[in-house]
Amino acid sequence: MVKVVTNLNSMPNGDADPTELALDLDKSNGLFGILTKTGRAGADIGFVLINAGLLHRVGPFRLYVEIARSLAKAGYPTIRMDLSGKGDSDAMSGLSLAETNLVNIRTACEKLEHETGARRFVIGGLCSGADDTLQAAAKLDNLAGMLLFDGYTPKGMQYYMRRYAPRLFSPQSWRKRLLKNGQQQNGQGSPIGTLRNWGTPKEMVQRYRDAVDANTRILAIYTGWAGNHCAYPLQLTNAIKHPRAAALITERHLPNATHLMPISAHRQQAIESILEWTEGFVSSETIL
Amino acid sequence: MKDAESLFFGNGSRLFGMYHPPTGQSRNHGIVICAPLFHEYYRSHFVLRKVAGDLANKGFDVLRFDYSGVGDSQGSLPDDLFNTWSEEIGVAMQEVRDLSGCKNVALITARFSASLGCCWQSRSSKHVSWDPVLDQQQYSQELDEMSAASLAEHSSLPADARDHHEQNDFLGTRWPRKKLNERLLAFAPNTGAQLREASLDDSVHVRSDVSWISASLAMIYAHDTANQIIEAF
Repeated sequence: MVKVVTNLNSMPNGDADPTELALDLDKSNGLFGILTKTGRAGADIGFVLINAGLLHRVGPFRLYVEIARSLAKAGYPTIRMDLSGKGDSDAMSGLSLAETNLVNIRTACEKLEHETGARRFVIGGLCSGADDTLQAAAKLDNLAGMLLFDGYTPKGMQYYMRRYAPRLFSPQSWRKRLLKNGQQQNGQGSPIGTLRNWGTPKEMVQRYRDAVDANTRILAIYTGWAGNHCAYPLQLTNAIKHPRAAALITERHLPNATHLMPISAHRQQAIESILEWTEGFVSSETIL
Repeated sequence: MKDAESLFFGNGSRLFGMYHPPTGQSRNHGIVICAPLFHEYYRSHFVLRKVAGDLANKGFDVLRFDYSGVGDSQGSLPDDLFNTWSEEIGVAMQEVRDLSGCKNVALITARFSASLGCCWQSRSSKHVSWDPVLDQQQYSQELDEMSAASLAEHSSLPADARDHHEQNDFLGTRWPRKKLNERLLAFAPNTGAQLREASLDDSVHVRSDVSWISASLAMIYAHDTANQIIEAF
């Protein structure tokens, strides 16, 4: 369990960093997070970022810290949280993983509302953070949006055509394939889906459809890592086959970035995408 | 387990820390845990949290913290980063004294933090270092290897673009490699020798078989290492 020492001296150094508070999100269950506050009053939308795999709330190469501080400067408070059993949060027993994540996210949203007045929430993360967000989405109240880095993307005929057709006519591709088959016989390589919290393709598509049904906006950011299952822009939008998908889903591809974004310029591109999406998000609320 | 307390401390309250007060009978003895740097920071978080909690259960007052520009601490990398970070170890040692009332404070350092903590060794009751860097030139090469391994995954980038990132955004720090390397090699060049020559009474080196260069960024579950560190107290 973590106590909060709210340090009144934790003020930004000029414009350098927004104010941050260490938060006891749930005393009884040892749930921890950091709130990055905005200097602007009346934020209606707040963000909650959840763990990327087993990394703690900082994110790979401080990605979550950079996102949170950028959002705060743009007027959106953010909680970077450690889900139960990750980072500095204690493990919680008695519930399934999905139930625990849901409880955790709801708790963070309540705390964000309490601390900042935000009443609608964007939840998101990288890798398992995207998966956990999508899984919890249908049961979250006041979910305004989802921020999914390298989330699941349904494949369709166009995916297979774009991904595999060029390889049929490439000798180099055939050579690589033959070598790779040799390696797999030696036990190397494993399907991506087994390492992630992915349901069946049908379940995953339904999760997206449910989110779009609920008017949840989605920003899906794909790095080059996702190339194995996301072959072209608008793949997700097309695969959902929902009349409002195009209006609610924004896809941004960063093909030169890798999954954990060690290159600062790629993290910056991702942040700019988020900020651009958010501004468009708020301005179009009255339209929807 | 008693609650851990989070705090911002130091000059301008810019350093983030997690303070683990002792459970049960207090030994009236503080410990500051100094995480390793760059990629290694992420890999060790879980283990060092476990070490902190277990040592608190043994009665110690334990403070883990993030250096300026790292983790949850404020700011970006300070220009004189290694000297600044070394000073911050001293700030953390004083903070744990202020929080606990303890006079004696030990250090647990990992990798290059052992070098950063070297100048505080004489003012600490004990220095336990996890895979300390004993040769700065070799560590510089290891950082190059970590960078190369990370950039090798960017197969869609042309070689000159990868080279540009390596030289100007080394290890994702936004620092030029040359500048970081110069700062590294200029920092207290004798710390390797000091660490090698420290007496076994007050200095313990814990060796693990972790591959710091090639390990997954996400996690190191080095329970044996954690237990060795804890047993050193």
